[in-house]
Amino acid sequence: MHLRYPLCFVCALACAHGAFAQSPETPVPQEITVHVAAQRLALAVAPVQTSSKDTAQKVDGMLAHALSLTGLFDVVPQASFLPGLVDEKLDATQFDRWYASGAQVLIKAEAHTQGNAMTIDFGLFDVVGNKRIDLKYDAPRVTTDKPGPAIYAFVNAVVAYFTGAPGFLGQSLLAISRQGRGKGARVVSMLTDGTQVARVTRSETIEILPTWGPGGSVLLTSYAHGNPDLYAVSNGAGKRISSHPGMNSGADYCPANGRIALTLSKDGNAEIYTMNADGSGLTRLTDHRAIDTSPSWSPDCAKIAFVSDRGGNPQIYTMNADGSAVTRLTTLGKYNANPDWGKHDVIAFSARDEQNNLDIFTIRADGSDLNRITQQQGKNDKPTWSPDGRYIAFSSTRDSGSRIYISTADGKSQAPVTSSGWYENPVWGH
Amino acid sequence: MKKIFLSLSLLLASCASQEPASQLIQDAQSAIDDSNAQNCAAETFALAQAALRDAQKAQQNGDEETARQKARLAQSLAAQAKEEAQLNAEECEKRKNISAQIKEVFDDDLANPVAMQPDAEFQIIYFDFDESSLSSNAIAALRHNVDIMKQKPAQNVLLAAHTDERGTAEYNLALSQKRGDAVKEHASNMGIEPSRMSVVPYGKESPASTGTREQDYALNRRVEFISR
Repeated sequence: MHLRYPLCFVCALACAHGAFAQSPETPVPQEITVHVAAQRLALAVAPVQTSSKDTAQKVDGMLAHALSLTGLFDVVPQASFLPGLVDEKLDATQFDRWYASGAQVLIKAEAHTQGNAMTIDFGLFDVVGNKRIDLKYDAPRVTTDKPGPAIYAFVNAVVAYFTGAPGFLGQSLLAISRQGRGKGARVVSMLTDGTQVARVTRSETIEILPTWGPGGSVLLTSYAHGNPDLYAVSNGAGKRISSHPGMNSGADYCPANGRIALTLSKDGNAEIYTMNADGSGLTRLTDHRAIDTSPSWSPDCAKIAFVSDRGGNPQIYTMNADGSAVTRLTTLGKYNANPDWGKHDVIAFSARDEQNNLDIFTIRADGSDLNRITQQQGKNDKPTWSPDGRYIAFSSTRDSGSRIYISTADGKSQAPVTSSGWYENPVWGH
Repeated sequence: MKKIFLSLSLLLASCASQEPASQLIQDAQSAIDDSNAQNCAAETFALAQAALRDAQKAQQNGDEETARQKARLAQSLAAQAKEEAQLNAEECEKRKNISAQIKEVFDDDLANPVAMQPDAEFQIIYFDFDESSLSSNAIAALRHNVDIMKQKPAQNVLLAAHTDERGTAEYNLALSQKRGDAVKEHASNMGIEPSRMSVVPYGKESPASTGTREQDYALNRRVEFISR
């Protein structure tokens, strides 16, 4: 007899933020807070059953990648599977043998194709509890070359089952793409698993510091007219909305008040301003001889985090939306920049150490609870929160080139989104 | 970049032979044509073309030595572009596929960036790490540029200001603005009308060298004078 423990002790991402599930199947009490990486589930993923080897390979690859990004699982290698399990049907599960293979949780799938059309039946199994878990989600019909939506829907449902809130698969990121270190920056969009990479413009000039604007538009700074001007790109059309001499950059749009916070140097020094989405109604918030830059709205748009070197080196500050009550937030280190204010009033930022490496940190907006997310694994920069405040995307040079990574909010589980190319400056869609 | 320096060293070592500039220009043109790198290593390819144009211009002006140097540089850059294009082949092919999905976004004129090449007659103003104040060497270089501008009172300049890659994108953009402003202010104090100079901050987006050694970073912390 196996010594089994109930699956329900295992972690929940949402627990840390007190947002745990309302689902009747919620497996853990709300007060339990467990770190994701410390309590990751041992997950076996059986190869998808389908007639096409190519389709199976594609689905298996995308599913494994999507699951790795959730930070919830340690995947049991197929080499550990006992004989006969790899080809097991969806409706016949040998729980004891899966358990003996090291799995606490099991995913199996069968893909049914008709021409190019495909449906995928996924199964999630509680190996410890000897039962199939009944996931409630809409399984979209997909094509064999683009199975993503079906996989995202299932994985998001799996995340919702274990954490009480759905996952982020299928959401979008903006990023900077280059052909290599120091090569020309171009803005691209991609899904959060790194697929469907597409240029946002067809301009062949430098594009930097993209962000999401109203109605799914993209705000970006481009040198198309020789100066770093701010453009809004929407529905196939681009419009220059800020073209003062010098910097028109670092835009951050707040849906709640319809205002864009940005950096302008029109008067010879970088200062923070806000304006309407069409560029009208410009209001200056900072007025200091130092550099003031990189504004980030709080979720309720009542405050703005920004970078200033008014204290002698770049640090994170906060202020009210009208520029009052400027307060220094970071005090450790000599270079703290790129703040991103997350849903739970936690600000993620990049910090440069004495060796000039950049790493990601988080700090609560009241200055408490400073946490380190990365530890000198290459250059880690430009953190961006997921809309639900449970994950952080950032760029890292820890492997070859520069990749986008997604980390759990506590930094304990990190996985690469992109595997080739040179990508920086991710911005999560809201 | 290491390869550029190596290639340059080898080429410079062969200077003693004093090949005619016309032959070197022809060789550089062949190397560029042969690189097949216009799409997959566009920036290095463009630098090679620019160096070739400089060589041709110098030859027309009777400056054989400069013509030879520029032609050798063009040939070296063409070789690097060819190598980059081969390394980038897979990513480049992906980009071609992606380009089919690219939306019609900007006006046509935005698809054609304005060329920004520093003028050879001006000296480049270099900065120390994280600094926007001018060193004594930087002031000497600026004085040289100011003298030229005084000799050409109708000439306006764009001050293209840069940082190295260390640090974050927008703070570096602001730091480069500060460097450009510092150069403008010093030049103004030396007698140049401020309206003749405009600053364009580039941050770390347009490095002179893409290497990661201290000497590469030093080359990138700069303000370039570009005639307008």
